[in-house]
Amino acid sequence: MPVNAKVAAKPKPQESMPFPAEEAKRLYYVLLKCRLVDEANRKLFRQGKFLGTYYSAVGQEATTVVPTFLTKPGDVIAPQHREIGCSIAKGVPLNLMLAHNMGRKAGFDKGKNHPCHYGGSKWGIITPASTMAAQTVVGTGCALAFKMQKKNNIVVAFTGEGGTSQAGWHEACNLAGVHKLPMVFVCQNNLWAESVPASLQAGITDYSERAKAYGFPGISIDGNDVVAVYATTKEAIARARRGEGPTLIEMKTYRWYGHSEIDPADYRTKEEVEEWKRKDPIPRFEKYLMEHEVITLADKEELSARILKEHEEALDWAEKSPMPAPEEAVEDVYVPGTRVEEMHREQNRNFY
Amino acid sequence: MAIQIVVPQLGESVVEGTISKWLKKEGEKVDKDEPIVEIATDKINIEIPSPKAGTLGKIIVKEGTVVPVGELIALLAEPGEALDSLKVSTAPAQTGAKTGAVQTAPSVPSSSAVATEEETDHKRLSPAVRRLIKENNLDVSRIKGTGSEGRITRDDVLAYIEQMKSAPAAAKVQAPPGPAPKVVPAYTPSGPAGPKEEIIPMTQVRKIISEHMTRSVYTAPHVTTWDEIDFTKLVEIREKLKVTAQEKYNVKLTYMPFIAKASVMALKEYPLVNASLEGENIRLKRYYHIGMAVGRDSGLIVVVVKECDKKSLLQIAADMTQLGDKAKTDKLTLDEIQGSTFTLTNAGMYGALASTPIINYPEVAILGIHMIQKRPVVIENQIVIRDMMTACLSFDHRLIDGHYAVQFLHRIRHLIEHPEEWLWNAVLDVV
Amino acid sequence: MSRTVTFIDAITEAMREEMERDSTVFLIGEDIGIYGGVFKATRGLQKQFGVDRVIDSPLSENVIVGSSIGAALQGMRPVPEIQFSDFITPAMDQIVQQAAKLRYRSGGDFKVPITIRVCCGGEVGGGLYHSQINEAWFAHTPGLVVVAPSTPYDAKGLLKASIRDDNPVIFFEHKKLYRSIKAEIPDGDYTIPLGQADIKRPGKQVTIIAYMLMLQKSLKAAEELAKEGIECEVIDLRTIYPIDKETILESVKKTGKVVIVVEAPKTASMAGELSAIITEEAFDYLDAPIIRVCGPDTPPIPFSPPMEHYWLPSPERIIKAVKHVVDY
Repeated sequence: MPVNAKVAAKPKPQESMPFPAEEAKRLYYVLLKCRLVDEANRKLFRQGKFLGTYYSAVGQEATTVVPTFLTKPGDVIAPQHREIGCSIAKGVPLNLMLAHNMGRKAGFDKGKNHPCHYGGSKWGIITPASTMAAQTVVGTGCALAFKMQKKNNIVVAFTGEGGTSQAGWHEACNLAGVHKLPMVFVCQNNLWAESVPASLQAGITDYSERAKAYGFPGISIDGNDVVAVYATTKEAIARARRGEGPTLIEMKTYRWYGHSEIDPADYRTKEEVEEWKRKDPIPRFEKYLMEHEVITLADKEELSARILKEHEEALDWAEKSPMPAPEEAVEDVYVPGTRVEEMHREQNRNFY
Repeated sequence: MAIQIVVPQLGESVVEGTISKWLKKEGEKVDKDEPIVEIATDKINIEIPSPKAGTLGKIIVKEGTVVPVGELIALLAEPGEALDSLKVSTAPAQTGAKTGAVQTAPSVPSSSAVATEEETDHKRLSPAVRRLIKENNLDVSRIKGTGSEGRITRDDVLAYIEQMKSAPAAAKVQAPPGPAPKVVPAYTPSGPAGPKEEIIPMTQVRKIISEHMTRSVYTAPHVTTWDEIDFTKLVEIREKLKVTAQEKYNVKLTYMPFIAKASVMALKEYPLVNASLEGENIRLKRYYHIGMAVGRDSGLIVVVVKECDKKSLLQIAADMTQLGDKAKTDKLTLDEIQGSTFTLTNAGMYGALASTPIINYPEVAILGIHMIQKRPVVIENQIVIRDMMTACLSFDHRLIDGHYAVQFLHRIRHLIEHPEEWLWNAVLDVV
Repeated sequence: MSRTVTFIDAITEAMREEMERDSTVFLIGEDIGIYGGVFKATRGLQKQFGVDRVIDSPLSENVIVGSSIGAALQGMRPVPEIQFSDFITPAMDQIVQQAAKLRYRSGGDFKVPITIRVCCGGEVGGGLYHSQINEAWFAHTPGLVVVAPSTPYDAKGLLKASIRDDNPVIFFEHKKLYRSIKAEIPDGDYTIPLGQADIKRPGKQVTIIAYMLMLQKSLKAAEELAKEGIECEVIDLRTIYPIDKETILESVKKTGKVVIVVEAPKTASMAGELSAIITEEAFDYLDAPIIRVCGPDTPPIPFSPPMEHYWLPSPERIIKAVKHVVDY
């Protein structure tokens, strides 16, 4: 052996992973896809291919992808506007996501809602609003229904740390605590609510402490540590399914870019951004998986290529898909087949 | 496409009529211009001719129903059109409403879009239009509509009022167009002004008076009868009453209100004198609007005191003064110079003893009032001094015969000479 | 002396001047301090007046408004900001049940001199959650004053007047107008009375009533119509509650024809209220039905451009409505 040859580290046993290798691989694929798609989307936005604004989640992928990955069909995801990871993890087709960002008719909202509001009942994702924390309240309702229907499903409700300043979030936690609702509250603390630092957002730094006030456990973890997120969320979900009630998981993380793509985010220091970039969840997980011989660099390259190709094809498809017709603006207000919808249609056929 | 049969304009100030008789039945063939229905109004009976040839498809309004002008009363099917496809809507068509014009994206609920029968209905008088018509007592049938589908717009009414205001005396001439003067004396112009001459064009007012007088004289065969009225009792009464009238009510009490009141009472007993002639019809009127001729520098004008039968002496006096002032300051409204049923003309204020006044067309009589003078008269074989006035009544001999006119005038005389018979009633009406 | 400013600059000026003039005036809202506001309406103000008077609030409209109410009861004159009118709903309880009612429920004892600045309006591709206005909700809540300027001059004068007014004011700022219109405004202090509409363009034939973005569109429509000889009188309502009936009725008596343009779903919009006032109090002057030009009854405003364009009243639609009443 040459003198300076690096001695390869011994591979770590796969049994020490909290997940089987196959699952790890799938999880990695989804995380990578989330990152690559998000970055590619940012480029598209700057090229003017998207309409409206774009909210990237680059840097926080683990907080959304992992919990969603751990849910099963029938579970409900209640996201906000930065939870692209939830949709990627649920396998929402890329072409629909891009069509949505371009305001096309084929988008899940038929062009009615603002970009980055991915979701649909097909994937168990409640189509998001742009208001904060309201979805957590709605989530409690879904969880209540699961209880009444004696289903073994759960709800994962996402907010940022800013969302926890809304009264609704507290009321949701309160109800969930009272009824031991099958929920997981994920609080992605990325330290900034647009330009407002966490120090002005709350008097505490560990948002998990709030759970105590509502009678259920809370835990703060490194949201950029995929393994930690996985293990914690898995247990929380199991708890919920066992009927033991909700858990609040505060995942400390960071968004690399501005609140939206038109936000230069110069209220943050370069140092802070760099510091967090070094804690990038994806290379960390890659390293972990390679150490456990779950994936190789070749795998990464192959998966990356596959993902980017899929994205390109999705873009092509989306660009060709038609805009909605103007008159569609008055559709989908009420349920078709009801007298109310008929009246609404009639009354809104013409207007000055 | 079915053709609408609507109630047409039926004469001045007529807003409605009664369907008196359908001359055709549903399903019956009709020729162009053939009368379909007869409509009666209080002015006139009229047959409505068919605008086109076809079949009377649907009679919408029954005989005996009162219908407003413009109302849809029947539908005429054109040749080849199915009768049962004719549809009638009961909803007044206003844009933006539910029916009819439904288009795409985002279209305007426009009444012109789909040709619906409902929307080309009766002439729509908007609130602004109705107000202006009421305020100015206009005859809506005289106003041309330039709005959509012939609607009379507010601007149309305003334009009409402007036109009327610029020649107020012309309103009288625009009363029901009677027969044109049959004989108009021709005047041959004799060239430019000579050295001792001046040629002045007539003012508009003068022209109108000229036309009016000509029309009156050449239409109605005028006869004037006169009587001498003993005003002595009335003079005494008036001397006393006028003081109270002035001091307590600030009203100037002349003889005219008394004469007006006496006229009204007489008119009630001799209704033909309060009527007007229309072709071969006599229009009797049960309202008593007394015209009063007022001389002005710009020309004669007749102001009208409305409802003299319902007003007290004092009210009539006040009205007369007010109208007289308005006439002199040119502030009269259309309503104040239209609609008289009988006119008084007072040449006495200028000193005349008698005259042969010209009837205020289309009325059928006019009473000339003259100076009240102390004269010697014979009463019970004695010569006494009395306050006497010669009253001259010109009347239209087409309608009124001599004896009728004489008796009418005599009745006025009697009433004025015996104020005790009626004055209390007139006085008690004072508020 | 005067200078040209954008609509948003006029608003910034108003806030700055009022804060300089009155030390009880303070601002609170999301992203208003360090960031200077998502539209930069409060740029430079925290630097000038400090963190105590320009407060970056936690993400809670409820608390932004509610805390302002409390401060107002204690003699301060708060100017809270609602970043987007679509996000005002968490604050509804505070606005409706507290701000609007405190005076009434205390028999005139308490007063709430707050001015809630609300960024609103569409035509920016904002979709369903960045385009709403909802002024009708507040016009329907007695106890509140609702103001909606359409020009830089009015924005400054009305914001100052609102801040100085002792009643709770909801002050709408249309985001599309922020940088798209500039105008000359005079130097120095001036206010505009609340409850006073303004005839932005006199005319004889048709009265158009509008505010904010729709006022600008109505002016465009009026310009086009003038080329065809149709002279419109364009009234800028300026204050949504209370309504300046006098100006409106006088105009209606002159023209007899009315078109009302409101950026809202038509049913139960302010257009209905204005129409009712006119029919009730100027019925005899109307020569045509009153036309409301509004959006259809859908959540305002669908995102995709063809649908947003379809939805929003445009000069073309206004012209159509005007021509309809002219030809009536």
